[in-house]
Amino acid sequence: MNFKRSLIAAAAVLLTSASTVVLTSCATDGKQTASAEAPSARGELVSMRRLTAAQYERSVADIFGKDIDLTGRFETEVRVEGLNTVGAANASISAGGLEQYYAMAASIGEQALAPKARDKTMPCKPASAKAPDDACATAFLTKYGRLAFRRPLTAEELSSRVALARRVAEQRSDFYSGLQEALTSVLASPNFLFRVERALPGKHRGDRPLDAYARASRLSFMFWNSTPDDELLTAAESGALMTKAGLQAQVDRLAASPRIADGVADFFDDAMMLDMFASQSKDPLTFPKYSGALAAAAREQTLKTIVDLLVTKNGDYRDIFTSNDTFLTRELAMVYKVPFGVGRGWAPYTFAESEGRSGVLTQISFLSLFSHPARSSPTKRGVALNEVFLCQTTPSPPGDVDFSLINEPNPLLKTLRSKLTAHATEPSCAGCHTLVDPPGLALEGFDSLGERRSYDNGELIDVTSEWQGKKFSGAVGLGRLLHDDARAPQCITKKLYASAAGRVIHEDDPALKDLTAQFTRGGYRIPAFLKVLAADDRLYKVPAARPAEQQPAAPTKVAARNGASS
Amino acid sequence: MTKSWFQGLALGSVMAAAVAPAAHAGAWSKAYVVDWMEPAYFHGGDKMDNNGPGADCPDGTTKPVGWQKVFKTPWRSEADVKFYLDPEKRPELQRALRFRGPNYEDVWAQPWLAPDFGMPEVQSKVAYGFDLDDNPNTGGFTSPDGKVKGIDNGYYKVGGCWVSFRGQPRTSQRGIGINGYMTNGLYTIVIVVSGNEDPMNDSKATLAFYEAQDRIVKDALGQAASDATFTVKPDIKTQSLIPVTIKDGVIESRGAAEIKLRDEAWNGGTPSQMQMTGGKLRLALLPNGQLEGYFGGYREWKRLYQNQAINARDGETNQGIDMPSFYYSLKRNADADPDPVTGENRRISTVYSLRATPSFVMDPTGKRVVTAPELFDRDGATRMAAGQ
Repeated sequence: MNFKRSLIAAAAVLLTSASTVVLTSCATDGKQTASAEAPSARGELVSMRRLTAAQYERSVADIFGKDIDLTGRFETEVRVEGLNTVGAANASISAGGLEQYYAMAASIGEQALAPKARDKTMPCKPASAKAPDDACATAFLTKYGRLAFRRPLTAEELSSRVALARRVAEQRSDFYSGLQEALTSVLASPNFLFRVERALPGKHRGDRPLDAYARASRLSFMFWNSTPDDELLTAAESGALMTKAGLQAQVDRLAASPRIADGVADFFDDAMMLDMFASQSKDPLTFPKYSGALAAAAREQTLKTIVDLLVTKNGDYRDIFTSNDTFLTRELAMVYKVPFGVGRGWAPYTFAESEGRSGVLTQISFLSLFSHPARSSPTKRGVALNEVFLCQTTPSPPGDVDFSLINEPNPLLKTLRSKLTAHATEPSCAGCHTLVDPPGLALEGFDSLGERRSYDNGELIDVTSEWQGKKFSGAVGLGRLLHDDARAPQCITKKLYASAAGRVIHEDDPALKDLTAQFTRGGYRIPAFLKVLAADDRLYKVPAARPAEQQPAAPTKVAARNGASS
Repeated sequence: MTKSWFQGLALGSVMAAAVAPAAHAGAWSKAYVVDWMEPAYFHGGDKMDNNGPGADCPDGTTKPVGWQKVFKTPWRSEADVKFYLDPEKRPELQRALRFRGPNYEDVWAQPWLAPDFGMPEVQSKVAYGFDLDDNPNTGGFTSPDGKVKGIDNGYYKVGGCWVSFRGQPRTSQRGIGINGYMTNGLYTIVIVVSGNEDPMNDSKATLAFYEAQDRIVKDALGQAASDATFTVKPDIKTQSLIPVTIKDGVIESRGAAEIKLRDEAWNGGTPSQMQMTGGKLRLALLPNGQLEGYFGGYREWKRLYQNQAINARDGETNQGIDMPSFYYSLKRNADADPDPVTGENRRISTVYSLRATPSFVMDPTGKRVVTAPELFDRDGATRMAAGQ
């Protein structure tokens, strides 16, 4: 219908840029008509973050129920500073992408208003199912528009959609068909697809507080990685969320919910770049145990491990490098070469010391993601370890770097260690390899899939290493080193802060040092730290722009160059 | 699964995961899942041709007897035979085929009511297997390398020219078919080898066959994935403990043993028990961690016949095998266990090839790794094997 086409065309044009001017326009679905609730009256638009795939999925499940089947495809995520949630601020939606989002919106609308689902979703019953009913349409769109936009709809946003529902219902003699089109327009709106944040006026640049709805969204996505619920939005509407006590009450409520596990799992899924499993492949002749199902299980294993340690047991974050408590399926146990008890689902398991494993670094997810399809890569593992857990970025290799020493068979250089050592003698390579190879070489006791091994190309593997002036051996030694590395807690503090704020956090950010100290004093407990962060007023302030932020931040190195050869 | 059984798992994993074990003394165990098992039929023809003539079958694989000849009975007219032999009447032929006894009897069930048209038997003197009766003057076969004389493999003599059995190892139609049933999940056979000296050299070890409750996990190459865990099915009909010695990685039975395990599949139905008397085995630990070799013994030949006669439609109509002739051939080549009354042998020597891949085997409760020879009855209780 014409409205659909015009909406797509307008939004496609508007969303292909991320400039503030465009974003302001988007916030009213392209309509510039002034109203009592025009965006300008609700504060200045300061950021728009495209929902990540996980946030979209969780939001839809929370709004309409877990039965909704999402069949569409999402735009590629943009990872900045190691996080998609930060890159989301740089992400736009292409014309083709908008078609996908529109199709998903239509599908959700169809499912949510299917005859069997109406009892659950409809807040009212229309006077006739074959005719328009503005009152019922208004009730429905008010309820779901508020949850989708994470704020109440403006009068115009609501009336235009009620009018749409009316027109379609008249044309098709079907109330629900009209409502479905109106719901589709809500879910295809930039106000749903992007987290639109507005700031209230401040005394000076850098002191503008976010409005209550932006505050509610930050809280909800930080703890649950999903849209704010009714209670949180009510707290925003009443102004309670802008008070210290009101904020603390919501922080306590969100943190006490078991759904904090979702937020923690999604954060680590993002921080550990586990979404890269979607494009991973392994040489089936070398690693016949690998499959898409195994990859999915490996991803889930790591998230289950982390949630169990950090949330369920409220453990020390640093133990993710040393704890051998995990969860396995029968297929995962095959790769770990350990027996698996009766049953087909997940079961807790603790690796014995003799297995030589140490925390998440020695799980299939990390070991296989940061390897080549047919062989391991100490360099990839080292780069990833530095970036993911220590926030240490590695420069890209020179354009003319010669990888032949590593990739070509050499009877004199059988192991990867010997090849890398020879490769790193080249001055242009030595600088970075000295930083990243030592931890990676300690993990050489695990092949590209994550199976234990003792030999590389027929030669006994040497897993001793020296890094940061300390000598250690194997994964266990590396795990202990990372556990005691002060950069690790500072890095996770920085990433949690960046993810919640949706922007790059610089080393000189005054809040970072303080937050890290609180994390340390709190015994490195993630749930407690989230509460500290969420209650910190600095999270809800718009910082003054830095000169370096005139240009979009560069994509994360590991993600950008996961095809590098060494 | 709880941590309460972790210690057991850890112990088992350490013991069972060894790929290239070094010499050491002390209790040890290794576990495997069978990923290929088929009758060990030596192919005497061209390596690239499963059907052509060879020393084993000078005329090539068994030719159909001809339905015009087989289907005709005193009570069935030539017109009836002609009707059924019309290619378009194949379904009707398949339904009527078995009824060709003198009084309409089912000759698959009562083959002795039909004439013996003669099943072409293996002619060569080379076969895989064992000198089961420890008499080099019987059996008539010699091993391919010439080292073992008097190999007893009557089953090979009977079926070695059968088109679906003939061919290089792991290439015959039947081998691919029956192992497909197994690897696709119809049944699973696992092995636990354990001892107290050294995995590569142990004078008094035990090899146990069990049936597992879990399906085989296939890898990306379609083979049984290594290191999967299987839980023993507590059914002593499909379990056996075989005393063995291990010398330089070659496992050999210590004397004749009763071997019981789940039989190979003949069709889509779950196979029954395989039970051998006077059994022997010889399996080698391969450098890649797999186990490969042969086991054999005397099986009841009537059971072998019944396994294939239950649904002989494929054998008869598609491969041209006359089931009563197969019956007579088995009877003729039976070489053990004479009936005290009739004197007719009730068992026939058989040999199977086997390949197994490293795995983990848990007891029926799924809580403990099986590391020592034991049998598991249906209620999960265990009892140690006598003499172990």
